[in-house]
Amino acid sequence: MKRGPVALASTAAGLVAVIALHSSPSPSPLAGGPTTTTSSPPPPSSTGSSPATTTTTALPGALLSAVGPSEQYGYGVISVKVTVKGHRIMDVTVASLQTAESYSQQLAQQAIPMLQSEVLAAQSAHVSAISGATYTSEAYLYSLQSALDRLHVS
Amino acid sequence: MASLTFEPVQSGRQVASRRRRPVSRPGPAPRPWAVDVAVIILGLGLGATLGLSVTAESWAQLHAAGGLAMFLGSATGLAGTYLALVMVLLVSRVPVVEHVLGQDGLLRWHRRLAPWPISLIVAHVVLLTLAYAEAARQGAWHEIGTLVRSFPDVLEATIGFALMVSVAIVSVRSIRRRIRRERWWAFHLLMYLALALSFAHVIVLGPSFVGHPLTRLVWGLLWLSTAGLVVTYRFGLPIVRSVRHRLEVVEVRQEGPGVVSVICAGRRLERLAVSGGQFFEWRFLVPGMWWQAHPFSLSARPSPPYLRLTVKGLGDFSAALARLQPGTRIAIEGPYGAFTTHARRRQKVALIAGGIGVTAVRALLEDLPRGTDPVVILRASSADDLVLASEIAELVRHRKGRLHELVGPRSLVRFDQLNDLVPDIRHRDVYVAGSEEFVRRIVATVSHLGVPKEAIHHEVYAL
Repeated sequence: MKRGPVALASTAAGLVAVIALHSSPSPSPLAGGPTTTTSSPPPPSSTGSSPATTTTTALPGALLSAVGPSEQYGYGVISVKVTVKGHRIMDVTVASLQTAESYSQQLAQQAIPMLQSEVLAAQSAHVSAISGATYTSEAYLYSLQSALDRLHVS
Repeated sequence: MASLTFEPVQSGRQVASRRRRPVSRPGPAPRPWAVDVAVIILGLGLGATLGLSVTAESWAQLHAAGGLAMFLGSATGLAGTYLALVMVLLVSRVPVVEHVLGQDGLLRWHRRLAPWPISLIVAHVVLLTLAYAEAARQGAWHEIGTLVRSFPDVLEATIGFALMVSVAIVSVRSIRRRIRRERWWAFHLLMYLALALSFAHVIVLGPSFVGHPLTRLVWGLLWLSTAGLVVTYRFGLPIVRSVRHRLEVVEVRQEGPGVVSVICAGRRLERLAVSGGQFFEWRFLVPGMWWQAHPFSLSARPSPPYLRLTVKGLGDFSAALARLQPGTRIAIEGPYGAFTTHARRRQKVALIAGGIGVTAVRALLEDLPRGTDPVVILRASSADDLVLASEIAELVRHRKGRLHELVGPRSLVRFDQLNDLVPDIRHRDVYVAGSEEFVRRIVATVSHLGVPKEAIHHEVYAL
C-alpha cells in the first residue's frame, strides 16, 4: 500500500467531514445565545416626546434610538444601541454583550469605551478597530452601522 | 557451534548453566497494517485540523481589516502545530510503528517532515502580527509589544517560538554538521519545552477553540495522549527494562584494529524479545558518559545471561568504550530496528556488510531459518578489519550458504561484481549494513540489478 496517497486521501476526507459537520445545523458555540440570522432585531424606538415612529423626518428635533442586531463574532455576541438627534449621534451604548469566556469579556470592556469615544468623535461607524479587540470592534461597528441604517442616518 | 559462543572465558556462571540454558525470546513480527491505520488516522486528523480553521471563520471576519491574514495566520498555526505533533509521534518509539518502519525509517520521515511545521509556524507568527497590526492600524513592530504584553499566554508562546526557531536553525544540515552529535541532540530536546510553552495560547486564543468546549477537549486529549506515548515509550519503558535487566559490563574484548566487543551480563534476558539485526541505545553509567546514549547493534543474539555489542572505535565515545571497567552499569533503550528476518519477502537472501556493518549481519544470520541459502558478502579494507569473520563463516556453513570476503582498498572492489558473486540476486532479499556511503552505493547497485525496493533492507552505521 502506497502510504503517501493514503495520507492525502484521508486528509481530504477529514477536511470534508469537518466542513460537512459544521454546515449541518449545529448548536451555537454560545449555548442559548442569539445568533445574527435568527434573532429579529427589536424595532427602533423613540425616546423623545413623539409617538413611536421609525422615521427621522417626522420630528427633526427628537431623540431617536435604535438597537442594532446582535452581531456574533469569534468570542461572543454584541449588540449596540445608538441614540441620534437629527443626523447627530448623541450616544452609543451596548444593549447586550455575551462572551465565551472571561478574558473576552475583559477585552470587550476595555475596548467598548474606546470605541464609544471614537464613534462620537467621528460621528460615524467608520472608525478603526481597537488593537487586540479586533473581532469585538468589528462586531460592535457592524451592529452600530445597522442601527444607524435603521434610523436612516448615514 | 562451539566457536559461536561469545561468553567470557573465565565465567563460573557459564559453566554452571551450560546444561540447560535459557533461550532468548525472538522479536515480535511487525504488523504493517498498524502503520497504514496510523497514517489514515493522522491524515484524517490533519484534514480535521484544517477544517476547524476554515469553519471558525465567517465572511464578515474575512473581510474585516486584516481578516484574510488573520485567517491564514490561524490556519497555518494550527496546521503547523498539528504537524509538530506528528513529528513528536514519529520519534516516540511506539513499538508497533517502530517494528515496521525501523528507527532509521522513522527518523527519515521525522527529518523530511521537519521543514513543514517550522515554516508554517513562522508564517503563523508573521501573518498574525501583520493582521493584528492592520486591524489596529498600528505598526507591526509596535504590535508585537501589544500582542506579547496584553494577550494571555502569548508571552510563553513567544518564548516557545524563539526556542523552536533556534532549534530549527542548528538543525539545518550545514550547521548541524559542525556541532557534536550529542550536543545537538540534547539541545534539540528543547523542542518539547517549546511545544509545551505554546500549548496554552492555542486553546485560549484560537478561533477554533474559544467558545468550543468540544474542540478544546479533543485538542487537549490529543496532546495529552501524545505526551503519554512519549513518556511511556521514550522514558518509561527504557527505565523499566534497564532496571529489570540490570546490565553490566563483564568483559571488553579486542576484535581487530579499533574494534572492541563489550560483553554484558544481565538478569532475565530470556524475557527480552530481540530479533537478530536489531540495536539498542546504550548508556554506560560512568562519569562523562552517562548522559549520552549511542546506538550499537547486538553482534549476536542474546545468550542469557549475556549480550554482546561490537563497536568500531571512531569518535570519542566509541574509543572510551575500550576503557570500560567490568562491573560498569548499563542502561538500555530498545531493541529498535526493522533490519530483521521479519522484513524478508522472498525465500533466499543476500547479506552485504561493509566494515563494522558486519555486526548486524552476524546477529541476523542467527535468525535466518534453513532454506534461506544465505550469500554473505563482507567488505573490508584489510584482512585485519574483517572482524567476526570466523563466526560468520561458521554460521554460513551451518546454513549451507556461501561467504565472500572482499578485501582491499575501496577502489579495488567493484560493486558490479555483485552480479557475478550472486547471479540470482534479483530473486533474493538483500540486506545491506555499513556506512552511509556504502549503503547508498550498494542499494543503487542492487536496484540496478533488478532487486525491487521492498526486498532491499538496510541499516546505516553513523561513524
